[in-house]
Amino acid sequence: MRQKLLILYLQNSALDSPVVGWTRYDGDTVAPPVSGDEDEPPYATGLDALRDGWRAIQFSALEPQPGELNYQPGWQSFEVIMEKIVETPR
Amino acid sequence: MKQLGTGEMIRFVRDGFLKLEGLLPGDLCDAFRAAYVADCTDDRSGRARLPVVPWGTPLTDAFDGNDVLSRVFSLPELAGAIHSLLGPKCKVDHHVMHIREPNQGVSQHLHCDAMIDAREAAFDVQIMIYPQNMTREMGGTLVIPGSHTRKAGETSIARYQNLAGQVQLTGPAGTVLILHHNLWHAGRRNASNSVRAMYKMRLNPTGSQTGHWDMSDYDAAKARAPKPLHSPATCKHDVQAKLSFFHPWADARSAHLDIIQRTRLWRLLSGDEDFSVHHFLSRLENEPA
Repeated sequence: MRQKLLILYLQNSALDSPVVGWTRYDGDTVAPPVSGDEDEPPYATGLDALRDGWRAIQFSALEPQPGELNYQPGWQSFEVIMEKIVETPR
Repeated sequence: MKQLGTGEMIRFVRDGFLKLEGLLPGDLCDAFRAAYVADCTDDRSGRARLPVVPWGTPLTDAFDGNDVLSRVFSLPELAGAIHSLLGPKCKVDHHVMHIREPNQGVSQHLHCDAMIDAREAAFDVQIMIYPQNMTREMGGTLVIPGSHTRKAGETSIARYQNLAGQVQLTGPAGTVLILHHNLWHAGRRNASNSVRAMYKMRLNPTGSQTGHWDMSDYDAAKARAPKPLHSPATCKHDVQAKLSFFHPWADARSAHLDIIQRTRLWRLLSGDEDFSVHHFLSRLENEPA
């Protein structure tokens, strides 16, 4: 069995908010991950990914970010890590 | 030299970069490739060709007058853009050549150059020059518009592979990017059959960065006049409306903080300490005795 990861960055902390960034890591291929080649997110919202069989395994914590009280923006605030397990042999 | 206008300065503050398409004329691109790119197969061979320029060298003293790079940095549009953003007498930080072979499968991770920069206001610029036509397939520089307000160090942001609204550089030979030093960027994979070359120079200011652009059409009083959100423009350059833009990759929490940072940058460049995008920063500064 191998793990496929889909990491979504959302517009706010709700899982049904729009996807504003995305990352893939695929344990089922030897092809290297690639930055910046995709124009459209794989799902419109995080909830859409859940409905397509991705399992959420981690959410970013809901807490103040360092620097926020000095009006310094952080990076992506709302990250959801999702997985699928595949059984296909490589 | 040809200084940047108000509209270009607003775009730089909003997006963190400017793109000057095909700025280098064809003969200068040819000379650039002959001098610094021809027969180079990787970064190491490309960099070995460049003249050694110690950091701290004034840009005006960096190159022999006959050097191709001297001709490049003397182009009125490029010299004027550098002057507009950094002021006079800027100094060289470093310069480097990136050469990418055809048909590569690997891209750079998203990153900022160098460590987290704690400076509150002053900024460096990076000049990126592409001496050949750049197609999307060639994997030119990926930039995240507006990310210059998010302080990050090196590849701490490498996990972000795709962000909505990201820009993949394309353009005719001689295209130049001018970046705020903190802009998130990456070299994409070169999936084409052509070698891709990109020359980069980082420049540091040596004095105030205020008021060096062409302000002849800028009306500070109208630009700062209080106006409600989403109201019609009251002057030629509606700075407040343009700087209150939400970039599509930004979550709602941080997008508002981006506007605060853009306000601070506009204050630095315009010298108008009373400027505020709508009431976002002025509201937070209101601490009655």
